[in-house]
Formats: sequence, C-alpha cells, structure tokens
Amino acid sequence: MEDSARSGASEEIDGLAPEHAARKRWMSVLAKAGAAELEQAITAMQEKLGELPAYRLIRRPEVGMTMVRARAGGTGRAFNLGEMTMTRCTLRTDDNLVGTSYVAGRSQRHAELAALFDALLQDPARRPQVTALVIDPLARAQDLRRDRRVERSAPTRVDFFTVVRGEDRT
Amino acid sequence: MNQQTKIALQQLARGFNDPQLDAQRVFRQLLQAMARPGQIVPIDRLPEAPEPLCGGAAALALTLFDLDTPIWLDEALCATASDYLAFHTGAPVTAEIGDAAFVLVADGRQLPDLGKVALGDAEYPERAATIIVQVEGLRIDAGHRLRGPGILGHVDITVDGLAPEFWSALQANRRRFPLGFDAMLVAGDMVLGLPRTVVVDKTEA
Amino acid sequence: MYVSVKGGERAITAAHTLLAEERRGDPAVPELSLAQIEQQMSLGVARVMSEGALYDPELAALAIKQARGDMVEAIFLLRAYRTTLPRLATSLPIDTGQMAVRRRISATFKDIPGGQVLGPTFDYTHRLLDFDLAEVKEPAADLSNSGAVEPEPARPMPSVAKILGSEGLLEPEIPGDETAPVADLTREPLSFPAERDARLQALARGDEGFLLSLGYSTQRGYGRNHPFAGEIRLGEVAVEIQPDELPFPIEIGEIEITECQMVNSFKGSKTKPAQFTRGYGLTFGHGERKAMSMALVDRALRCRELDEEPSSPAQDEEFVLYHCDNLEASGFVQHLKLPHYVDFQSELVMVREMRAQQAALKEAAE
Repeated sequence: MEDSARSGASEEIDGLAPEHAARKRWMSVLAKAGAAELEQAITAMQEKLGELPAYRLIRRPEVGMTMVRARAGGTGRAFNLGEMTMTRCTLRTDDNLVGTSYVAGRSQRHAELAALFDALLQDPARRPQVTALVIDPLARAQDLRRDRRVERSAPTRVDFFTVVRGEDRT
Repeated sequence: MNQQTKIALQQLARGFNDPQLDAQRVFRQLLQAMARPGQIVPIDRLPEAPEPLCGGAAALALTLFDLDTPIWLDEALCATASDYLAFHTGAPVTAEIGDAAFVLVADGRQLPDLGKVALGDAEYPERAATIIVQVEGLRIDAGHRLRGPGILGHVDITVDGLAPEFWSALQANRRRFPLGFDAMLVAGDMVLGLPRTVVVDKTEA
Repeated sequence: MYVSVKGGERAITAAHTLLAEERRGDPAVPELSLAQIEQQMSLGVARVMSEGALYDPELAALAIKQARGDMVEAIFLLRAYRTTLPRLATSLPIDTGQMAVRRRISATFKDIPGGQVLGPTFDYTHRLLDFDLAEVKEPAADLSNSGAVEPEPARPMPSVAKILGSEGLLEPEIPGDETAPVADLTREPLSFPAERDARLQALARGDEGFLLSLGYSTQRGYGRNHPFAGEIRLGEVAVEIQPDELPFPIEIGEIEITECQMVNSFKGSKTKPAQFTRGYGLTFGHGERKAMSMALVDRALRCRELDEEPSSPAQDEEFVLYHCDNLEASGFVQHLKLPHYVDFQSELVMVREMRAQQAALKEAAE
C-alpha cells in the first residue's frame, strides 16, 4: 500500500465484498463532491429520471467532529493528531431505502444530499443510471483534480545530471 | 476489516426532533433535578424510543451519553435498545458494570449489583458512575425522607417499582462521600435526581 | 479570593465597539474576505488549524480575521469553537504512504525513487522583498484545474524510512497493540511519565515558536541529536472512519498535511545494535518548520526509551509538555492583567511594615 502513489485508489479495495466496495466508492465520491455539485446532480437527475422519492430524516444533518488519527513515524503506534469538522445525516425514503452520509466540513445540505444519493444508489433498479449520471462523472472530475494538483509540482522535480569527472575534459 | 454492521437501520426509532436544542433543554431540566433533589422534574422533550425504554429515560440517554461514556445496559435493554443507543449516541457498551460511566436499568425491581459500580477516586471523584433507573411512579408522599444540599429541610418521596435494596445502597453510598455514584429515577417523563450528597433518613419496607 | 467587579460593563461594551473599529481599520480600504485569507494566507491558516487542533480552513480563516492576525488569539478562538462541536467519530490512522504528494524532499539521499520534488517552497528564494506584490491585480479565472492534456500518472514514492529500514539501518516504527487505548489530551489531562502517543499529540498542538527554539537547542548541543531530514512530504491524504452502522470504512474527505521524518544517529549500546533513530513531526496544512521542530523534540523526548540520560531542556518531558501549549501559556501570562488588587494590597502592607521595622532597628542602633 505504501508504495502506491496512484491517488484515489477507490477502485481497488482489497478484502471487501463487491456490494460493499461499490457502496464505499460512491460514498467516498459523494463525500468529496461539493454541495453545489450535488445540487446540480439532483436537478440533472430529476430531469432525466423523474421525481425523486420523498424522505424522512432519521437523524437530521448534524455538524460535529472526527478525531484524526495518525501513526508515529507514519507506520507505528497510533496517536491523536487533531480533530476535523464533519457532518452526518441519515434518512429513510418513502420506498424504504436508508441512506447515510458522513462528509468532511460543516455543510448540512451536503450531508443531506449525499445521504439521499446513498439511499437511491442502494436501489438496484436505480443504481446503474444514477452511477452513470452522477457518480462516475464526479469520480472522474475528482481524480482529474487530484492528478492535476500533483502534476503542477512535476516541473519542480529535480533532474540530477551526473557530472563527468575532470579527467575526461581536455 | 469489520464487515459486520453492528446496527440495523431499518427499524430504528428516530430520537430527538432537534438533537441539539432538545438535548440542551433536557440538560437544563436534569441540572434542576440534580441541584434540587426531591423536586420531581418533568422532561418536556421526549424522543421516540424503543420499549422498554420510556421517553424520559431515552431523553436522558440521548442528552448525556456520547462516544466517551461507556454504558452498561441491563438484559432487557441490551436486547432492545442497544442499536438505538449506539446509533443516536455512539456510546460504547460495556459488559463490565464497573467500567461504565452510566448504568441504565429498565426495571427498578430488577437491579444489578450496585456494589460494583464505579465510585470515583480521591483525585477524580467525579469519575463515578451515574445510575439511571426506570420506575413505575414518583410522587411527593410519605415514604423515604431526603435531606441534604439543595433540599430545604427535608422532602418525603414515594417511589413505586423500586427494589428496597436501592435505598440501603444509597445510604451506604452516602458514607463514602465525596466518592460514590449519583442516581436518577425516571417514571415516564418525570425525573428525580439523587446525587451522592443526598441523605436518606428512614427506610420503609 | 476574588473581589466582584462592580460596574465596568459599559466600559467593556465600549471596548468591544472600539475593537471592532480597529479590526476593520480604515473603512475606505476593502474589507478582508475569508476566501482571501484562506487562499492567500494559507500558511497562517495551517498554523491556526494545527495548534487550534481543528482542521477546517474556513473556520481558521474566520478566526484569523476576528483575531486581527494575532495567530495565538486565532488559535484560542478555534479551540473554543471546538468545544461546541460533538465528537462523532475517530478516524482510522491516516496512511501517509498514500499521499497525493505535492512536495517531497530528502536531505539524506540525493536520488530517491520518485525523486526530489521541490513543490511550492520558500527555500530557494533570496528573501528579497518583492515590490511587485505591493500591487493588487484584478481577480482572474482559476486556471489551475484546466488543461486538455491528461496528466501523467504519478510516480511511486516509497518513503525514505522504508528504504533505510529495509537494511535494518533505521529503527522500525511498529504499531504495537492496536487494541490499546490511544491517549487523548482533550479527554484526560497529561500525566507523567507520558507515553509517545500523548507526547506526539501535545507536540502537534504545541506552539511552533517554543518547539522551534527547543529543536534548535538540540542542534546546538543541548542533547545529542545529530539530525538529518530523512524525508519531508506535503500533500493530501484521505481520512476514513467506520461508523457502527456500516460494515466497511468510508472516506469522509481529504486533508492536507506536512510530514517530517528526522533521522538521528545513535551509537549502539549493550542491548541494541547501532541503528539510526527517528523523530516524527506532523501538521495540518503546510507547516514544515513546525513539523521539523516537532520531529526534533519528539526525538529528544524519546531519550528514556533509547537509554539516554536526559540532560537538556528539550529532553525534560515535564518542562516541554507543560509549557508547549500556547493557549495555556498565554492564558496564564495574560491573566496577570486581571485585577490582583487585594493580593497587591497585602504585599504593599507587608513591604511598608518591613521598611518601618528596619527603620526602627536602625534608629535603635544609633
């Protein structure tokens, strides 16, 4: 794992059942999307797929924190680094799908929309379309953003030339 | 990697309407109950809760329990309310009653061994457990006489549906002051606070 | 004993109004926006998040604006805000090996797999004030994410620690008992002797200036460190949690962090073969100086584990950990501004009495 610098390796999740792996992937994509992006996606979906189901909040969007843990030396004993803001939401649609979200930041709207998408994606009938319409494009955009961020540093990588010793010069 | 989900979300009761504001309000009411032992305080924000957890006890749990408070549940609650409490509060459940910050008992007639409950220590007396017991009824009436800080003179209360050993445990507890557990009795939506400062004067059968 | 403060409420309200005016400064000058602070003072934001112990760039920017640029005051604001939020989860330990790296250097090896990537750094600037920056240009479109060309796949970047460790030259950092509780200073006060997890948390939240000076002292011979910057990395890592209601961990987002591995020489002892030893520093956002200082002090505080006799301030666990929190330090120092009238009165009385006594004795002697 440590050697892989390929970012966003959500496609290769070892040790998870395919169903879980798929849900882990879309939840990650939804968490990293912006609230505005998800609003746009909702609108696009309603246009293409019709009315979305109504839902009831089991747990209203709640702003809180996650304690971020790290490891001494990067690989050793765990320690508490510090907290980060995080918002969560759980809802149940009228057709009995339960969606849940945990997203970094303080946007209650983001958490609610992410939970709604999570619910819809758990419906096998809706999943292919919602994945194609919403998740895949968001995932591609996120990967691209990440790769571009890293790529911007590429010109700053040092190319060391081996200096030829003096005796080779005349 | 843990691939078992510990909570089934489908059947879950909803909890507080407004988690933040409701919890704050209930906390204030609880503060009143603990500051004035003997005053029976109504809790007016009652969440949805699974039986046998009553609204008042659920309100206390949702207000006080969190990730940092290990809880001990009696058998009935383990079976019916552990998902609900895990989801809404995140409190870890412990099988060791001595490790619990909160002990939750669904039926006051079936008390666990209160002798094992955490009493705090000399450096941190506040690390004692708080015992929350559901009872049938609470009223001001001849029964047990309470005295102590927060009580003007004395107050007599009657509790229905509470095993008598609770009162002897409370008296033994008082002798350990400033160590000792704190308790709350809940009947429906009414709460009686019994902090460790309370003196129980007479015990009736 | 405290004397109740009568009155003064009106004066305080007026002080707050004046403070707001001073904060705003000349109203003809455009007001600072949070976005400007987040974007253009990002290193300040990083410091406030690290020492405020809360990762939220927008909140940190707000704190900086409200604190008028006083970073320790901003840290105070963020720490205070922290107490109003419930903790909902604890993350899995972040994997810095999976970082999307924007800067990565090593002073121990020249040629390393993945290369030396300088990234955005002040290191090679000449520290000449750039008066071009005195001009304010009009905002332009953000082109950083545009470009038709697909970026090249990132190269593998194994850590230098791994490279050194493969020959047994570097002491390994092993997880140990993963079920053991992890120290949390936000829940339990420090107790001594402190374990490494508590120390690292304290250092991560600790004041950069204090740790910088202590780190410096170890280099100047107050401690036997001989440090090398094994690796410094800057970039983003994913943060994952596993809530009880889900059967797998999920990513909640990414955070930017700076990681520093210091490599220190250690001559073997009777019980240990000669190996390089380590110090570790980690910050929220881009904070190299802090990460490096933290790593130097971490190593110094490990003297007990490494059978070294503590002989310098940076190796004095209580001295370092009791004084590294700038909130606590600032609180106690600044509390001196509170009325101490009664205390001082009693001092005054004593001094006068002593002087009177001395004068009387002198008179009697003459």
